[in-house]
Amino acid sequence: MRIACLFAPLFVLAARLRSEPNLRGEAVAVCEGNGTTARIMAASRPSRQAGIRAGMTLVQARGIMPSLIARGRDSTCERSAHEALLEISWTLSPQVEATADDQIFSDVSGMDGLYPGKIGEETMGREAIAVADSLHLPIRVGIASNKLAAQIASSLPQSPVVVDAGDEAAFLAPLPLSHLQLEGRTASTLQRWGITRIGDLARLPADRVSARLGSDGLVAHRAACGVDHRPLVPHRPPPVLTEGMELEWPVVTIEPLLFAVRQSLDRLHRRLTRQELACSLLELELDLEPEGTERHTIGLPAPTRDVDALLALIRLELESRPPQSAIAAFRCMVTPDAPRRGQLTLFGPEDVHPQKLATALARLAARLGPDRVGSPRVAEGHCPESYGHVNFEPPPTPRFERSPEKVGRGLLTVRVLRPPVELEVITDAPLEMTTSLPDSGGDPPISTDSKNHRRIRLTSIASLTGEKPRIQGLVRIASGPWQLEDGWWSDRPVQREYWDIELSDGGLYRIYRDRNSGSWFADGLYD
Amino acid sequence: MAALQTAQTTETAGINSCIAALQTEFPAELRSRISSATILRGQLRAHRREPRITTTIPELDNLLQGGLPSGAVIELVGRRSCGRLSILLASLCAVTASGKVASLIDLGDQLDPRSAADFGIELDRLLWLRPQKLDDALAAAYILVETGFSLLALDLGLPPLRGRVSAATWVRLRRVAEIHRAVLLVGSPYRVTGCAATTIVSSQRGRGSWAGKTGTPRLLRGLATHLMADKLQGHRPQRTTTVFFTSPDAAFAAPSSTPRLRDTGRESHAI
Repeated sequence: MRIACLFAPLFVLAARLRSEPNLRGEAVAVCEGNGTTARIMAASRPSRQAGIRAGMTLVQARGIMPSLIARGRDSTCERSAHEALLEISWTLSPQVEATADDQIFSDVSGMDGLYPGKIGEETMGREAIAVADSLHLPIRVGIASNKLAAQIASSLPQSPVVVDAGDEAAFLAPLPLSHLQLEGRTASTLQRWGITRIGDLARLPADRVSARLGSDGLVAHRAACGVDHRPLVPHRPPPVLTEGMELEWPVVTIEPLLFAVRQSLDRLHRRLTRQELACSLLELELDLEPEGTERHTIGLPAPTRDVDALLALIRLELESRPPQSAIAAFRCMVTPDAPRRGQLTLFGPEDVHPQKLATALARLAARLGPDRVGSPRVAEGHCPESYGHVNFEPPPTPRFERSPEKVGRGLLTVRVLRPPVELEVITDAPLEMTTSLPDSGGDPPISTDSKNHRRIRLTSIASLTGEKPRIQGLVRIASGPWQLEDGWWSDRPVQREYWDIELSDGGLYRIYRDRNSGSWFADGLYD
Repeated sequence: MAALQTAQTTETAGINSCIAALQTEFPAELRSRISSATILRGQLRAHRREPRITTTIPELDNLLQGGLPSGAVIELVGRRSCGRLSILLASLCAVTASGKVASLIDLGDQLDPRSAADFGIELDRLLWLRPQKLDDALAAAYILVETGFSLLALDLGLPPLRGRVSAATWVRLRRVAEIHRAVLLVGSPYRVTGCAATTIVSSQRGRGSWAGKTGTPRLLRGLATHLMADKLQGHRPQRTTTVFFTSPDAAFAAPSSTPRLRDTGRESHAI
């Protein structure tokens, strides 16, 4: 078995610098605690060169270096960095175990097919380091046959370090005893005995060590001999990817927040790209000042990882539902999903690339609104104005391009007026026939194109106040009525009489009379 | 108009005679290389053989010299009840039937999915956008042209149009359509594209066609509209044609029979 250990040194500092890349190269230190009790946990190279060490108080550190940039620990950044470290280890193997935030073991057995030769594992380690650099997380890699040797190999500065199978003891022998991280009493006892190297402990008789130091000594002796039987316990991947940060001071307006959110989205984009995944659901969680949390959920019409489209959707969401108070921290949580893929055909028609389509749909949803982008569907029921609306997911292109018919059905369609336009029906002559508009009451249909018949004028009520659309004119020809009933089981059943009419201005309309209210409406224009 | 055509014919004849006279001055082997720009342009156009999208309306395809040209903005102008939306849906039917995706940018939110299905449009392949302002509609068209849609039907609805855009916006849209070889078919109640449209077809108010006589039950048989090519790149304008759109009810009825029941539950009364 071969195990790779991925270790992120100065993890709290590296996690912070991921979210604030402008601080790279500066004298930065990450502290824990408040006020005079704040202590340095990790310091950058310029700070260490100036004499700042972990464990110092912030006051001491500022006394050494007044221009030191101090940052507190950010749990959101650390969690994001840990997830990024997991994703880097998944590039090596699906079997990974996270033993600490800054340390992950990965089972790399059987990789000699991909990385052959004596330097194969070394190449694999370098590639993992390159992947980590692309995610702005410096790591060290150690590869050995057990977890202990791999862990110690990864702590060494010259990375990657590969320990051949069976050479664990020889590898550990010249190293200081501190690498074994022994329990305090055992370590002090060995120090008093003058044991400073791991090889010195390994040369001692095991039974004597056990007799003098007990079970802890026996464990230490086995570790010094390079023996470690701990198995690798696989880790389950999280269902969502998270990136975020705590803001230096609470922000009230959206623009500064979006600037920080964009950086998080960039990191999410790199992580999704690394896993060949896309975002299907985006959630933005805001920590409010002084207390409280808000969650905004943004659904996407198609999985995408386009940062501009995601940022536009977040902007739209925050402008429509602004936060209740100032924002102290945020987290972007992405539910990953496989991006749409399409198999292009050799003889089929040209098709839109699935990734470009997904990005376009996200941009359209951001501009127009998610409910205004999609495919139409015929709705159930008899009401002509009803319609269905689903996400646009075109079927695969046919294998062979189909030649469209040169001659279509030559049909006439109707423009649906949403909402229906209320009409005023005015008659200006006594009834000459048994029935006609406006009250057909189930009588035979009428023809109004004779001067001896009643003149009927229609006017849209909204147009009386100058609103559009304007429907006005005498009814020249009318055809109907057609009875329509729908939803008879509901509280408000639909009962209508429909007519097709032609007005004096030549417009062809579809109108109806609501039998419940007696009002007239125009709900369609033949065009 | 006749005088203009006569003048153009005379001018063309004059050019041809000049070309013929010039050709006689050259040796026989070089005479074939002497030509006019008009002849060269026609040869180039024939050589390119740009694929055109059929509208499935033969009269309109003839008017457009074979269909909708690729990489162009075609404007269809007409007021109410002129067949404008029917032409857009017929063109969308042709594209979706070939297995490609198309888009309808419906500024007025006036599409009837039932009608679209009756036309034969594959609804799975139709992207339906319902912007609320004109600039949003054009921005959506810009995005879709860059994405690779071959046909975008932009229906601006009934007047008045909500919002205003500059002529430069239409020109930019046309250039993007040229680059991506997309067809942008704009249906508008009045001229809006300015000089950006390569083809402009105006539709005069149509006449409804009714079955039955005065005093008897009537049935809407369809709509006849008169189309005129106001602008047709590379061809003489002012060509006209007449198109008849059949009402769905009449399409399924025999000429003298009573209207049959529609699946919407509407029932017609016949005397």
